[in-house]
Amino acid sequence: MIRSSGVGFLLAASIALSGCGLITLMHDSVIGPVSPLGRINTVTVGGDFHVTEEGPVAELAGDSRLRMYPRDLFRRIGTPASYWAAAQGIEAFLTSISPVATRETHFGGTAAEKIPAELQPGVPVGVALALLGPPDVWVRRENGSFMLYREVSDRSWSFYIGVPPPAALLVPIPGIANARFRLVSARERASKLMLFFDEHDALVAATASADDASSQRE
Amino acid sequence: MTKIGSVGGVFLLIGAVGLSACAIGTQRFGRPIDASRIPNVEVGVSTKADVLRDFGPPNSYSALPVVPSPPEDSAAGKNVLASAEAESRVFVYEYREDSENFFTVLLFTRFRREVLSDRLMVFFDPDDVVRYVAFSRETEGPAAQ
Repeated sequence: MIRSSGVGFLLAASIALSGCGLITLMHDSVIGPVSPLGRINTVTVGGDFHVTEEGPVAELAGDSRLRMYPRDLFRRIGTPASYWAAAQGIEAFLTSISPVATRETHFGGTAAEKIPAELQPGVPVGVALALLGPPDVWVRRENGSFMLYREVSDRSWSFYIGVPPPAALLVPIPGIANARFRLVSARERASKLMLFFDEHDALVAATASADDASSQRE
Repeated sequence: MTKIGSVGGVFLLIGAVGLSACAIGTQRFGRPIDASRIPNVEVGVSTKADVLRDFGPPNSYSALPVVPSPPEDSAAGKNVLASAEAESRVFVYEYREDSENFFTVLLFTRFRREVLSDRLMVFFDPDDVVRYVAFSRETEGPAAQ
């Protein structure tokens, strides 16, 4: 009798804590948009599941909101990408509650900030390709074409003080979770090199620039 | 007092170590490009079959995007665009490494992500002969091979 009631309790608990469980749906409806966990239901049962450095992301389209577990549960568990995704999700969560956090992202190698001396007007496109490698963008028109090489990096620094949302549930003071302060300083940098060619694929002009965009918000 | 202080220091150290975490990982996409075979690809000589034999199937086979000019919307203009696309067929080979380092201890977290890729693009003329070759390596060469 005790064993059967225990099994029943475990079954009820697993349903309550599943992707369509009451706790999950309440969490999503009340604090989902601001919760560091994001919308649990979407992440748990949605399709196209992946994790970025911002946290887990999934699309709910085509999946029932009341689905308890995802259709591809075993595939998710069994693939190595799941462990990578789990690690990224944990990292995103720890970063979001860490008082001091630095984040640095870098895409691409070192783009040419200075135009190579060999790139003089009249140089054939083949020489430019041999010097700089494949462009990120190459668009052709009837009367010529242009190439774009770029490198993007961003760096952010954040300072957070307050009770982290999960811990706030344990502090019996109303509104304690709202007593917080966060300062984020972000810097984005993009280096670009653009080359313009005429209809005979000879270089007409080249221009390089490095854009810097900084922002600070509280 | 000194003994108590040193014990406290030890506990603090153990606590700091216990509350720290780090993760280092690299995801690799595609197959490393064998740069030693690139000199085999000769502009104006090698054919599409030669490239396929040396490097295998490409990650993508496409054409350069061609932006039409407004007067070229006619049938003749579309022919010009079609021929321009036919002249810019390209094999794209790509190998990408997505590395990240994560470290957190007590109150501080550091996250760094770097995405590097090696790319080889081989352009063909309408006769399937190599027209241009472009290669760039961003990953560490020998380790990637």
